Amino acid sequence: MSTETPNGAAGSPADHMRAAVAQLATRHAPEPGVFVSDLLVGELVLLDEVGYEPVDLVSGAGAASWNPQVASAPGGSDAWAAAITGALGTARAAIEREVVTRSAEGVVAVQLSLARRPGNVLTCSLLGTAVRRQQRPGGAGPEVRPGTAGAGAPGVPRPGDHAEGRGRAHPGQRSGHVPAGRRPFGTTLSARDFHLLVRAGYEPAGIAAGAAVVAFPARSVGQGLGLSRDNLELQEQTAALYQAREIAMARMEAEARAQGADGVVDVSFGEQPFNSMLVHAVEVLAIGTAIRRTAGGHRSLEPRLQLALDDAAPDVFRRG
Amino acid sequence: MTGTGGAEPTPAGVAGDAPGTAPVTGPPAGVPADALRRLHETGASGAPLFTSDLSVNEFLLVEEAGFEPLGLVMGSSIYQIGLQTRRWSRSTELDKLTQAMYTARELAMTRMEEEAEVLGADGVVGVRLDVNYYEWGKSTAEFIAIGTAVRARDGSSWRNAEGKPFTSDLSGQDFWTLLQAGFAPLGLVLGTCVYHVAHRSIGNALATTGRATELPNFTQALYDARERAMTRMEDEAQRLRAEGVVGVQLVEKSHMWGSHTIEFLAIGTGVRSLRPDHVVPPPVPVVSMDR
Repeated sequence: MSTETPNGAAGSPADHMRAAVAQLATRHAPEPGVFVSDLLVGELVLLDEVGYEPVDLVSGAGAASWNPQVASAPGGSDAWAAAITGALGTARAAIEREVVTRSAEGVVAVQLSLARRPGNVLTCSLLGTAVRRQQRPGGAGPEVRPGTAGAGAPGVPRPGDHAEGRGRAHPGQRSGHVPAGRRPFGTTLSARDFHLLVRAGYEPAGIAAGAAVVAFPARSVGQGLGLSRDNLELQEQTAALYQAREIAMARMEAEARAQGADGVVDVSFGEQPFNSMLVHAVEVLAIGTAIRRTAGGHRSLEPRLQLALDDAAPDVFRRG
Repeated sequence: MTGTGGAEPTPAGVAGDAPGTAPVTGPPAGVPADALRRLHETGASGAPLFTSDLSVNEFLLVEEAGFEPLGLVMGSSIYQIGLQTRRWSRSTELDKLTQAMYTARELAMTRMEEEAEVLGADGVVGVRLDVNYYEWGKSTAEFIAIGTAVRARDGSSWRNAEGKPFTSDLSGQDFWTLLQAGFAPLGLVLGTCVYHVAHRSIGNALATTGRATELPNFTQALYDARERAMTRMEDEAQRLRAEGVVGVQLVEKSHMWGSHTIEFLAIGTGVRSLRPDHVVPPPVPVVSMDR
């Protein structure tokens, strides 16, 4: 194959490829007044109830790799852990840039997927709906907007006793832009959870994550095992794994603090054992949603006991 | 290696092991330094930051119940479960293994409680007790206890009869409902029993081939094991002066022992009533229209 293009057009195939990729990367935002979202109609109503509107689907991706064989060397496991959070960090920064270019304030219902590829490559992708505070002066008023109003508003009752929950979190800020000095928020929480949080006086600050890897040479693990028939605690291994989890949590907390959070909810622990001829390792990844209190403080949701009279009711009493 | 094959000879030195004298290692290595550092940062008076594995629903309900989350607390123990010889044709409890399952869980729970203590918690909700296996350890398992430490917002004390923060495996929803119903959790109570169920003799197996009949040996063995686990759980509840145990689960697992050796684990939350004149708000009956 020749590197010359037909028609004598300037530029090598590589240039064309770069141009095509650049075009992909700068997908045009939808026309003003039109939004794109993967949320269900009911979820859009819930967003609307707390004064937010969808803007566009946004995404971000990141990747990282490491060498697990050196991970058992001093400091090696830290590089491994940093690679894991690095992939996530790159993806997060990319999605934040997209949020900013759409003049949105944050992104909800982010689908986070971490995938391991051959050759110790970890890829991370994020996809969610960018949202911003409603820009109409009256909030969810009578005017019809494309999408939400026609579909949701008339059919859905709005209980009057929840009026306090419908208050805008920051009545002064309706610009739809991220306030100066504040990064856009991102959360893996669903629109439903987002609605509840805002009603109760919280707002998401971002996705907080921390990773730690504990690695030991394969033979040292085998040593001393299987020799004894007694019950005994393996104190070294206990301490190593315990510590890895604590470090992952501490790193997650540090990220949350950096986002100005008051707390982290919905924390999950992912643990991935890694075994090879030379190294046994366990990766620990703690990930959660950092939240902060809004100016109004905590508001009660006043939940009530209810008893479903549907025939499936006995299921309610069965533990999951 | 654990030999459900009955012909396995018993090595010298183990034969004399009396049941119940299974050696347990010395004092547990407590909460590691990294944990203490993290917990002190979490609860730092200047900028407290809570963490929790509760879902948003659970988190908001725990707040509704008058509690604030303080932080995720956990305890862990990697434990080598010893060996105990079994007789092919005899159903019996394997005391040494029971002891191991108890001790390892106790170690994990105690460490979790210590972490909660560091945070000045009144209790721990949403406790999960997990057992993990790793490829590198035969007959080795990791026992983990993890939950969310909480504190009562009005400063009242919720400690149990042992002066420790309460623990409960109830979800945030169940915790809220329990308080609505006028009960307070006291502690996670559990009882366990590792039981070897005897194999049937060839004669017996042949005699019952193709017939519909009860196998009394099996019935008796499973019955006995379950009863032992439940009784031990009730004993723990009595020690906490609980008035009842809610959310009891009975879990049967063979772990790494093969099909005839089973752990029966009974686990639940011991509760006491808050006050005699408590009124439960009547639930609103609803019929959903979307089904």
